[in-house]
Amino acid sequence: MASYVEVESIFYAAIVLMTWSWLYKGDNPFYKIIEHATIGLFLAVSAQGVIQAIQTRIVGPLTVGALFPALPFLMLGIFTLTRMVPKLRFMSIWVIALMSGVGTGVAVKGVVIPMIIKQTIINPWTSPNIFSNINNVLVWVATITTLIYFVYSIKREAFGGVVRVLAEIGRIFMMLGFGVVLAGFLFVAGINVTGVGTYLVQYPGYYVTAIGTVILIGYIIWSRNHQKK
Amino acid sequence: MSWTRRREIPIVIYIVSMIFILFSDYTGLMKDTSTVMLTSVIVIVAFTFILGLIQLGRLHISRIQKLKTDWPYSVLLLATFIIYLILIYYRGTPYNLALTLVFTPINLVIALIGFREMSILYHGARARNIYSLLLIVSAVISSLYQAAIGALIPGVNQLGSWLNDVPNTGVSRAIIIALGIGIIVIFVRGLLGLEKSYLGEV
Amino acid sequence: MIKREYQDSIVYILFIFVAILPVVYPLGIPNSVTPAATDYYNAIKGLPQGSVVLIEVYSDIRAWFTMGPSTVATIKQLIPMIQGGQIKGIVFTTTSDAGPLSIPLIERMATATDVSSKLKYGDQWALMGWIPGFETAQAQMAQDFRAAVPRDYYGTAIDQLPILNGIKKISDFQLIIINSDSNLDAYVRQWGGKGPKILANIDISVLALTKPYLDRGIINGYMTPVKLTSEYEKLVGFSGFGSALNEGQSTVQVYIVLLIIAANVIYFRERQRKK
Repeated sequence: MASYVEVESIFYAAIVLMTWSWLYKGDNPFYKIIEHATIGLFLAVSAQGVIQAIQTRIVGPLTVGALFPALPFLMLGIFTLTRMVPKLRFMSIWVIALMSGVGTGVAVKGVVIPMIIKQTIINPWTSPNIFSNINNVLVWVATITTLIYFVYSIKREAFGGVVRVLAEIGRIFMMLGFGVVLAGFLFVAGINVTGVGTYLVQYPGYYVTAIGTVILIGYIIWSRNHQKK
Repeated sequence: MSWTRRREIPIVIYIVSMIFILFSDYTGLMKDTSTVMLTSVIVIVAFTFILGLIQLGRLHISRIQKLKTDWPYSVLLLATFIIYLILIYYRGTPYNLALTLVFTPINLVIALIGFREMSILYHGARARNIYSLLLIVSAVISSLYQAAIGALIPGVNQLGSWLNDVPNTGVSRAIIIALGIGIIVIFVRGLLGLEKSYLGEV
Repeated sequence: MIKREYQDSIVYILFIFVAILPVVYPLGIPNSVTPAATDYYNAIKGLPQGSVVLIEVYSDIRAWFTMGPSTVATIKQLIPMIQGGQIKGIVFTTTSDAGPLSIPLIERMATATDVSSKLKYGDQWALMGWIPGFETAQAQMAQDFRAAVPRDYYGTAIDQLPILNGIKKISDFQLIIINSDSNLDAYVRQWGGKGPKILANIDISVLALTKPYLDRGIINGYMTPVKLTSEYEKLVGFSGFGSALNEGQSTVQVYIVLLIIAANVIYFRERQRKK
């Protein structure tokens, strides 16, 4: 009788290989099975979350007679669904306007101090550590020149070409900074493949890998013979 | 045109709700109403999901009824949806098995994370000019710095740390300031009625 | 010259081989503990008596390998502190855009740390489920937590969960740990500077945009996948998935560097040939 860990390894290996089949052949039956199963699973999980949200905020309060704010919430929900009815679609725009207005207000109320004021505070340039001072100056230069780079309402030739020079310095700092960001994105790439690849090379997943490899080789040979004919 | 369809109504709703949230936050008055407004967004998001679920359901049921291409996969999709939804509600061993043996591995690999990045890197990471060369050199040093092997290569830790602490921090601060100013600009445009994205207009 | 469609296949196959190699043949790359890991560990260790910790999970199950190990290690550090009475407990929430897909990640983390058998649900830990609305939900949690989250994931009313007694707004928590593979701007806007310490379990790609908040003290510590997590696991006292992925990460990064070099060599040779 197989243990749970062994069964898990087989399932993981099979699903990984079925999904990775896209890398060789694009859309194929194995990949399409996984793709459609994924959407079905996503829908189920989303539906459960949505049902719970509505149960908590509308159905539950209404069943105990608490009409406010459950009834207005129900009205807003119905207005949202009018998007499917062309003659009543204008009601859904009211709801979107409410959502956008609240969202903008929420974003604005927290933006000024952490995202603007605090980011303009400069670290000291006069500490005992000269390298720290130089680095703090460079951070300040990087910030200012990057902002100048994105100001398109001033011509680059303005002020005797000074704007162009500062924008180019900003561009250099941006390339260095974006290289770090690129490295970050590439970092994620490897972890996932290592993690799921583990199931392909450990017992009993490697049997699934072997079967998958045989199927792939068989398919390559068959398609080559088919092409020759 | 009926007054209910006038575009001024959603504009007024947008401006009033935006100002009310700020008013309530800065003065501390009418917090209960502000809480109700915030909760209303939670409810609207939930109903938007329902909208999406209905549209997707209609698409796939239509595909099955008309026996269009790939209709068996639509059957699989709807069957997976119904079965997993039932399992979520009737928790226990079947749900745990479905979660760990099917849901989790599918989610881990479906995005094919890593492969697209490698392909893009191979075809795109070419030093066509000095700026792309700087980007590539910075990416190489940071990649090694982020891994344990970077500590074994002389200079990588120091350079990687400097790249992180100086140009990266400076540029990120500028981007965050720009984002913050952008949010305030959207607020001002909204107040002036120039913001039309929520109306479906460009 | 190899055809372009085969070039991609070769890149993919080599990538898979390099990523899996250390699983089969461990390389034994040493890993020392850095100040960032120590700061994160000490920030949790120094929590005052009776603290309630909020763990907000933005990532979803697709980020299990990148974002899972760091929070698993965090929970493993917190569990003995809860059992010993130093802190009151942990509360899990998610306001993620991915919606309920974050719940399976939380469940998997809970399973990996055996939370349900080590801690008492309701008294020492709670799962509050998904609160739709992302930043709006966060704003409401900051203002009125009990109205934002009236029930937990299993339908129990918040008043029946002793761990949340006295929690009315976000500032009533002593520590917030945000698990996110996306930028933290919304969290900073709504929860930053409200009182509780904030620790960020973030993806490396997000560290760049998080550094300004770390410098300004709005976020008090961070943890990133694999390398830093493996150091943190050493401090907590176990060898988990972070450590296991560490070597795979090193070989992949070397492969990336070699791939970039190869791509540029091919590019310059093609340019010379065209001239």
